[in-house]
Amino acid sequence: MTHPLPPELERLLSARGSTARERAWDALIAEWTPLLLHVARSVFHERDAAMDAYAAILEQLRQRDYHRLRQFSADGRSRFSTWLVVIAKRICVDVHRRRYGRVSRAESAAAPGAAAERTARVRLADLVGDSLDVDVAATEDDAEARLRRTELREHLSEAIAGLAPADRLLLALRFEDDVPVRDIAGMLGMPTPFHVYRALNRVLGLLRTHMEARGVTDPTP
Amino acid sequence: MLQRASLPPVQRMTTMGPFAPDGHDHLDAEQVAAFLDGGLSPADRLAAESHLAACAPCRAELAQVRALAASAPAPSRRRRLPVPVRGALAAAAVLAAVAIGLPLLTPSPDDPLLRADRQGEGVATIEPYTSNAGVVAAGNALFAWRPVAGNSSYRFTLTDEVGDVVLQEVTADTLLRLDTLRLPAGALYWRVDALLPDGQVATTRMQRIEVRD
Repeated sequence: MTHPLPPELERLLSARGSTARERAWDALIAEWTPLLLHVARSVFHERDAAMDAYAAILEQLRQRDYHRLRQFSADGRSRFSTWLVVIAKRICVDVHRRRYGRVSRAESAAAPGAAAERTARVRLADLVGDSLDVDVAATEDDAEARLRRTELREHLSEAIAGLAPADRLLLALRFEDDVPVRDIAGMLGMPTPFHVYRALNRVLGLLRTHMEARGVTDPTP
Repeated sequence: MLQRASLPPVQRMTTMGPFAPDGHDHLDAEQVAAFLDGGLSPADRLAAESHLAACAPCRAELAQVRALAASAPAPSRRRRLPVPVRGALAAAAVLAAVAIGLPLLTPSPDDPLLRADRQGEGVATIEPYTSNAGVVAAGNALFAWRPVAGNSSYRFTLTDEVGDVVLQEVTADTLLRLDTLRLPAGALYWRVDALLPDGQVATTRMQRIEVRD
């Protein structure tokens, strides 16, 4: 499906002469400034910083004869409003990074992300295997129990890897990112949260079947 | 009308965004927007889903963009008028939705039903009928309520325990059977609201049910 261009964007990209182009640019900005400020304020709560980011967005959109806007017009696969939010958000994040620095690789790979993934795996394994316990923070040092836990995690990883991309994405959103079901429905284009629940139940059933086929009927290590 | 150039397929995932763990390609801006607006071809969508399933930063961006786009103000020329509390406009819109069979979207904070309900003003009670002590079957749930005099449409809302809307429908009937949808087991909440012609609001308020297989 090709989305139509907003009329103010069409006018800008087809304008001849600097005067006509300036007028068309002013008209475009007048229409879309509320959205751009909305995005800028989501990244910068302080007013001046948000206005700086807003100015940066305008500057980047104008660069190289409105190159990014022309890129969008050639694409046509999304609404202008959605695309503009993506562009504006990315520019704001760049501005934020220049102002406050980039998060180091060590910081981003630190405990919160790793712990979140571990927690997500435990929750997912809980749902697949009822009371499956693959908690890595084991207190007992029974070698057989540790081996069992490792096997269970490997089976679960193998099961997840065998799913269709859409199903893996659904699991990641729900169990790694903790995205509310209503938001998942909106992100994946499902009509209602109920459709998300049904899809999750189906996917968990697939995982359960995979685990049982590998002899995992008892979830306890 | 501007001519659109054709584009190469999505395999050209270039590192355009600021979400770049070293060496990893990510969805570009057009792909993110197209994914959310359902504009990717089946092959491109499959590739995007595969990438997103493995890329937390791209998923985070997708969620943030979706939330921002959903809450963004509309351009001034398309800004929506507030729904009037009184008058034929609201009633006509509801009836049109019933006739077309479209479910209402989750109400905005300006929704007159929500506003009146929060303020406790002009809220009459719709008496719900419950059976089996609030236990319903997952594949055959029946909801019923007493009709309100002078009203011709009701908005039925079903939510889960965290408040996410599972289902929302507008109906002219005082009975709703869900026999084609299998509800998730556990606790759910339902309510019926009606916006009366004189601007008064009637509601059952939240009713709890237990869904069992």
